[in-house]
Amino acid sequence: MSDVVSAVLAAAAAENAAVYGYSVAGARLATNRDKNAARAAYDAHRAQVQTLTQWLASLATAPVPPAPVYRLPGPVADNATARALLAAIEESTAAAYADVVAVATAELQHDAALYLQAAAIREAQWRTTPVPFPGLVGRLPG
Amino acid sequence: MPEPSLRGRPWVDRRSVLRLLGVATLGLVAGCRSGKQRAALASVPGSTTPGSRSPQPPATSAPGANTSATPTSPKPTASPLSPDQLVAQRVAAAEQALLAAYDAVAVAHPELVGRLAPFRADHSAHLQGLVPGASPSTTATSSMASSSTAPATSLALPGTIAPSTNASALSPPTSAQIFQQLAEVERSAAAARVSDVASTSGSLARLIASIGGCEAAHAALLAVAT
Repeated sequence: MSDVVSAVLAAAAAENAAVYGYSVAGARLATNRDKNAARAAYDAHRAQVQTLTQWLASLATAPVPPAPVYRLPGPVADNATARALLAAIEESTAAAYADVVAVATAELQHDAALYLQAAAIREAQWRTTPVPFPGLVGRLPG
Repeated sequence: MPEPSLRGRPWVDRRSVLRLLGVATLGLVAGCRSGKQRAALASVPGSTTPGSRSPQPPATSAPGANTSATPTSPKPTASPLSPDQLVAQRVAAAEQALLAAYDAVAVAHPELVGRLAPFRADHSAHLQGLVPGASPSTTATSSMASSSTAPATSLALPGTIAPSTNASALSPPTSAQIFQQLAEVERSAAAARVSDVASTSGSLARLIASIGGCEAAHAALLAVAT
């Protein structure tokens, strides 16, 4: 399996996990504004699953179906834990796209860089603070 | 059947102490860091394809490496730079310019320094990530003279918020207007990072893409700040 196929498969898995995570955490958010933002993000991740399925088709690779359930890093009991989960989800998807950027070329690499930015924007919005290296948390130099 | 993990990565705070003085050394060692970054690779959370990870290609293997065109090289040096080093230098110069933009606002609007500090610190971290050991080429908080340096002028903000001797003749901009203009600068930077990525691969591509993500997030946060 090529590096590109591996990275795109991992991104698709991250997007499937994100869809699941938003479905769990969205209802725990406190404000309507946040709930609307979560709904929009949920839709965006679902669209990304479709996009990545097309990428995999172009790579002659079958998509991996989503798991029925994903292990969450902790209980989602309230607004704070919901936001923390959603921020972690976005970091995960940003990391997956960073991996695609590292191994892909041309249009695939370009689009992955844009999708990383979309995830980074949502991550910062859930945290309400900027993150210096979205998608690289945990593998930073130095 | 084991459940795929959604666990996030450990949080690492990269906001190191700002280096406010000194001259950028542009150490040209970006390509040397790929090994360390690779070693820190973790599996992607939520992955359902165990064992599918493959080693990353080295950061120095950009396509077209045999061509010696150096259109973006700011200054020819004795030792030729690799294509990756040239890109790292170009992005580092852009980060210097962003730092200068924040410094210009800090001079004109010292009351905003605290709120803008996290944003500025990120660009400082970007610079360090691209060129370890580099420090901003302009003095940060006393950059009244920054107009005499290239990085500061190359990304100068519109006159309404840049330090100006006759700024008091105009009605002062609101903080929301200043944040909005910084958001524009960050948006442009994020778009430029997408282009910068195109000629790179491996850990440098990953780093530049991440920096672009940070800048896009800066733009989003600043656009709604008041």
